[in-house]
Amino acid sequence: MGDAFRRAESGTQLLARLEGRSSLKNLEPNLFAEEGSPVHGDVIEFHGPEGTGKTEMLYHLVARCIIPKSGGGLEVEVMFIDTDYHFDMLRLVTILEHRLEQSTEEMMKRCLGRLFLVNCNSSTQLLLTLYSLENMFCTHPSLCLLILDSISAFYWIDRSNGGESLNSQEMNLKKCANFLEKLVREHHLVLFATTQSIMQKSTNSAEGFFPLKLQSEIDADYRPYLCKSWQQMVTHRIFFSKQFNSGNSTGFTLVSCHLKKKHVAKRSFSIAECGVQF
Amino acid sequence: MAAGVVWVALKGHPLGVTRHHCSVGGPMGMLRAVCPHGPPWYPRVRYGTPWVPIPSPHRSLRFHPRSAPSHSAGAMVVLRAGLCPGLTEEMIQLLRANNIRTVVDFVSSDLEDVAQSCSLSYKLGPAAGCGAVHWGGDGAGRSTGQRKDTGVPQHCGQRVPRPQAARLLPRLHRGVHCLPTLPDAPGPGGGQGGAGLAIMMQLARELKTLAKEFSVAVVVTNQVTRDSSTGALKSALGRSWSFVPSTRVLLQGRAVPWEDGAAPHTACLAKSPRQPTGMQVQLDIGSDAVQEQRPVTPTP
Repeated sequence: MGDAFRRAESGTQLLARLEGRSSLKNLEPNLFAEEGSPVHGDVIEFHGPEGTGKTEMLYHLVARCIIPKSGGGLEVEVMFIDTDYHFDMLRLVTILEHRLEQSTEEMMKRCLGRLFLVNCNSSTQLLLTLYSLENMFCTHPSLCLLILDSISAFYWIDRSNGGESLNSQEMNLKKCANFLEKLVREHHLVLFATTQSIMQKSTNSAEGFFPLKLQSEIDADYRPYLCKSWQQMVTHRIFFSKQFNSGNSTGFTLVSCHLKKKHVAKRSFSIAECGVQF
Repeated sequence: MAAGVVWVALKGHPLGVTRHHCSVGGPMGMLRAVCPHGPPWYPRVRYGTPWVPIPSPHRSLRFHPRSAPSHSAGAMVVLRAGLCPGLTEEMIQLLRANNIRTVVDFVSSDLEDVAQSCSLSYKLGPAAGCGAVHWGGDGAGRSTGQRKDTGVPQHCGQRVPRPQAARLLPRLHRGVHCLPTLPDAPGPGGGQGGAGLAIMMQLARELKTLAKEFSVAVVVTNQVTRDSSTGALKSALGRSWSFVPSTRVLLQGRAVPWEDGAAPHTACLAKSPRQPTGMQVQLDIGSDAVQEQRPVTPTP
């Protein structure tokens, strides 16, 4: 063994790297403040309290991806990692039925064949799963989208198992975040992850986070609590909330922030039987 | 605590689950079921297996938090001889000398470096790593399946009934499993950094695993409180618990129990993964059974 073995990659890895991943620019323009998003390497965090449409939005994105180009979709593959048994296949199927012109069994099977679903039950299992998934990204060049619902599911359990030191409490998630960043960078993916608002906003948080003129518009109950490694790799953060109009039980709002460029956009959407509608 | 008002969280079944009972046969069975509520909520067509689960479902969850694995060494599987073929005692010592003690260390190390420094055969390295990943897949060292070659990860291992779950439901039959009111979980307690919350989240995970793996609906009851700032009703046990149920039904009763003709008991769907919220039904709680009256027009 010698230097020839350093940084060797297999034939499939080489092909995957050269062939490139499909563009996801038309995935859902309403989710982003600027045009041309998302690009490969973006990490988008959905943040919000329960019942605000985060998982529904993920179904919408999955449907957009797995529907064939003839049906108006992007025809790419999606990897969905579910950490709290939230994924509802029946709901996804209902959404697909509404969006496909011909929802035959054959068409459904082909669409669902582009979805890969994984359940994880602890942060250690999540870490090991991510390692074992690396090979999948090499062998599936059309696998562009990685979804993690949610990355904060193990927060309290990790804190309790980690003993006294914050460092060891956060260790697993930090390793997951670091490896996710590596996966996203090396395989040119886009990552969507949801985090739950389990902390109340403290009085002095969110200072300097939003441009002052928009701070009054954004009523985000946001307090960062996940590890720094995760905070630093997020490129877009989207806040979800319910609209409080009377008589409108299906109205939701999202506020999308590009963290580097400080662009912010606010959009409304509703959830019907066919899924998210802007 | 408002008198007579209780939250009930249902998993995976529409309102009135006690009277309706979808026949299911595991996760794929759900796709084949025709719900007696009829269309449009469930598909009528049978679909094939759409996904490849990777790896097999975990087995590491403890029911009693006291017996939960302690951090670091306990929580991660320590490499030991025989964990997978090729992992001999000699190999273990070599790896330890290079600071690789646990499965996670092994998997996260650069295999080429390990191969060079430990004189590990390069062919054996990735295979052993993959085997270790699948053996240690649940993070607690229990065997979850057989070793597979690297390639497209497959579903490994059979579904072994979990001992804790089997204890909870000794005779498993399809349908609904009801639990009594959840105990008051302590809030994020002082210096312990949320031990009470961790217990509650472990319980939540256990319940969800039960529901998913045994295809049962899990119903829990919970109290309701008022939000201190907005005054709106919300379920007790705080924010972290609020994410756990996938369906939530608010039950409201008469303000004055002995007065006839007062507002009847109602059940209102407050959260659902598949249906619009807001639908309400009246309930007539008689001496023998709960009878469902005709639905009430939902109030905005």
